[in-house]
Amino acid sequence: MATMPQRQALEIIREMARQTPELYRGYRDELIGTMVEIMSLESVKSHGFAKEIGRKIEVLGEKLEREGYREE
Amino acid sequence: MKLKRASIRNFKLLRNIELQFSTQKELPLTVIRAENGSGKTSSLLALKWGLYGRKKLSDPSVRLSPADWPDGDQCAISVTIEFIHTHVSQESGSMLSVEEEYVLTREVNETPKGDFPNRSPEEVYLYRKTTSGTERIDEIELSRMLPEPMVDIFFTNGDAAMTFISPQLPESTKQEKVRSAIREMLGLEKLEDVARRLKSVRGNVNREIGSATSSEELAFVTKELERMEGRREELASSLADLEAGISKTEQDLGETERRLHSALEAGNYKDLSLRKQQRCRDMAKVLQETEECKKQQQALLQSKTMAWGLIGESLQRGYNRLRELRQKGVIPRAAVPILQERLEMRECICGADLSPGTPAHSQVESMLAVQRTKDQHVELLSTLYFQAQNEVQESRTPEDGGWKLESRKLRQVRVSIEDRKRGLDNELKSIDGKLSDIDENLVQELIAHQSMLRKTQEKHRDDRFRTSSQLEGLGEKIGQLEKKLEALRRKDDKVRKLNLQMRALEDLTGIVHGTLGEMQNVYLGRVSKRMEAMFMNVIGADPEQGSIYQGAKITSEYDIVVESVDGRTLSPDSEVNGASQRALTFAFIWALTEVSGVVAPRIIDTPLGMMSGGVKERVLEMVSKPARLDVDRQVVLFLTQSEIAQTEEILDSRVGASMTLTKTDDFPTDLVYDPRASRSEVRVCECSHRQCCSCCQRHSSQSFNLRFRD
Repeated sequence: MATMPQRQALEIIREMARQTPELYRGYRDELIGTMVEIMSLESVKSHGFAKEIGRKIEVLGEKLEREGYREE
Repeated sequence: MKLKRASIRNFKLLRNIELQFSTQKELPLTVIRAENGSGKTSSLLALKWGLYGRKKLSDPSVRLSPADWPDGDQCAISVTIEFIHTHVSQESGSMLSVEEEYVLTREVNETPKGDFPNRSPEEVYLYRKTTSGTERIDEIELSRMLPEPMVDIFFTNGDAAMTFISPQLPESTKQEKVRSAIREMLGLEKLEDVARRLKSVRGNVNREIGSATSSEELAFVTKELERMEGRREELASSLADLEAGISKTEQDLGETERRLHSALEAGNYKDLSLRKQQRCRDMAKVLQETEECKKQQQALLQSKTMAWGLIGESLQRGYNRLRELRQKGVIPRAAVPILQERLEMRECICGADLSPGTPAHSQVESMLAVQRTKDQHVELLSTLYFQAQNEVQESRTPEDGGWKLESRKLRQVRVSIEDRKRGLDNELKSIDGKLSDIDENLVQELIAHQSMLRKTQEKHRDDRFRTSSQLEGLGEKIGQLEKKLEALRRKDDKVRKLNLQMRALEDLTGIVHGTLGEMQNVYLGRVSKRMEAMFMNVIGADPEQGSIYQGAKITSEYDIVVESVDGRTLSPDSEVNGASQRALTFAFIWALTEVSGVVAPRIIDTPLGMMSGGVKERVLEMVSKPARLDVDRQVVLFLTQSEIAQTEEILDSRVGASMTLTKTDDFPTDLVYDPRASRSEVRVCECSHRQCCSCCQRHSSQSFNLRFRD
């Protein structure tokens, strides 16, 4: 994210995450962390980065299951 | 990014120079003074080439080596730039700014050959300075520090400082430049990349859901939804293209109609030709009437009525005299016939013998001879009498003289015809004049082009309507399918885990889209407001004092417009003066970089050209003033001495680094001292805007009160 107005973008991401339901304790922070990692991977676009992003989504899903979240 | 130093070798006349830049926060300004032709533009190009390469030069094929480099000799050209770059990273939940130093070198070998030099591929070396030395890194990092779409933001040629409002560019190109600059500066494209990536992952998860379940219906709906979303994207893209096409066609149509109107100011060729033909026919008719009138007048002149009218009195007197003679018996004379008859009868009326030889016969013959002489005159008079008698009876006219009335009438008709003829003559001359002014070929060409554009416009509008309708319909269908898919997914327990991933994906997508929307709406508004404030301040316009400029803004279509009284907007490229256009462009660039907080060098060549007085001072204030404490800035200005004039005090308080470029060729015309140069080149000295030295002193230096520096 070298040339983005990084502070502004991250602040807004945090603000948007605050509007997301906290499906379990720490869910929002997990979302923010995953978002920042995805943005970094997207900037660098190193080998296999797309799979890496997919893996991060899987991890989030597994966490949701472990924390007992159920879709209604 | 902030530049520290640049070394330039063999780039045009910059054979071997080094530029130092100010990196101080409180004194962010670097002034490089140079007169016309002394390397300002070459320096800017060298920096641009060094950072971006040949592809970002306005003419990638332009020769880079010095103009006097011999044909066939290889020239090694290089630009080395040392710079500092700050990036932000998140560690342990907090954000850290990290400053690192880099060295970038770009090299190329060029062998001049006439107008088309041979050039080797460019070599780029990027190193990061570490505590233990330097570490080479991928040059792709450079494009992240200074993305290419921002080149027009960071490198500005003051003479062409209207990239975003230039009249030479079509509306759609200007809008795209503004849009691209804003999006790049605010990092919107990065976020959109993430949004697209998440969408792609979502598609993968959907497919997995479709294949993980035994439900055929779920698989079908998933596939159908994917297909429809693909189609929706296609339609949206087509619609955007059509909008752009309509906008372009409207612009072209306006331009064509304007040109046509201008060409037709002299008149319509066809109409004028028809009028001319009509007037020629009218003229032929008038000429014919003239002939008719002449004939009638001639007839009248030849008529007995007029003749009697003109000489009737004299004729009457003559006739009266003849009548008197008749009454007296003088005419007609019948003596000769009677005498002859008697001679033939040989007997007089009185009975006397008139045989030949008799005295009476001789007497009568003498009388006859005398009578014959007298009778010639009387005969003439008698003839006249009888003729006059007939003529007088035939030609006697009433006392009121009808021929006079007719003559007057014919004269009036003749005058009227002459007037009409004169009028027609004048009109025909006028029509001929107008016809000669019309360029009929151009008019026909423009009419044909106008017709073609209207048809194109019509077609585009039809297509747009059709595509819009299709898009709307498709949106509804997708909405229905999504509801259906959601319901199917929930039912299937096998896809529960994938559903959880989908939930996380939806939340992440919501965050990205929300961030994009916020940055776009809020930051576009912030940039627009800041631009307006800067612009109005620089040009000294006060809306409350009735200034013609009431404000400036960036519209949601990314147009930069200037607002005037009564809610009207002014076109910056045609209704705003040159100095204000520059001020507007600078205000946009400065507002964008200020709001975005991007730290990058802003390099401007000749920013104060076309400006004077208060506007000049305020522009310089705007570009050189340190921003807020939390917003760093670096500004490099290439200025001539004339631009610097009357701004010295502002520069005194803002300049952190300064130098002067001088071209050796300017001796002896402009330079005082002989540079003793074996070849034409640009040299650098450390003279500030108030100084001169043996390297840069010019004959004009005294008039600018420059202090000589040993």
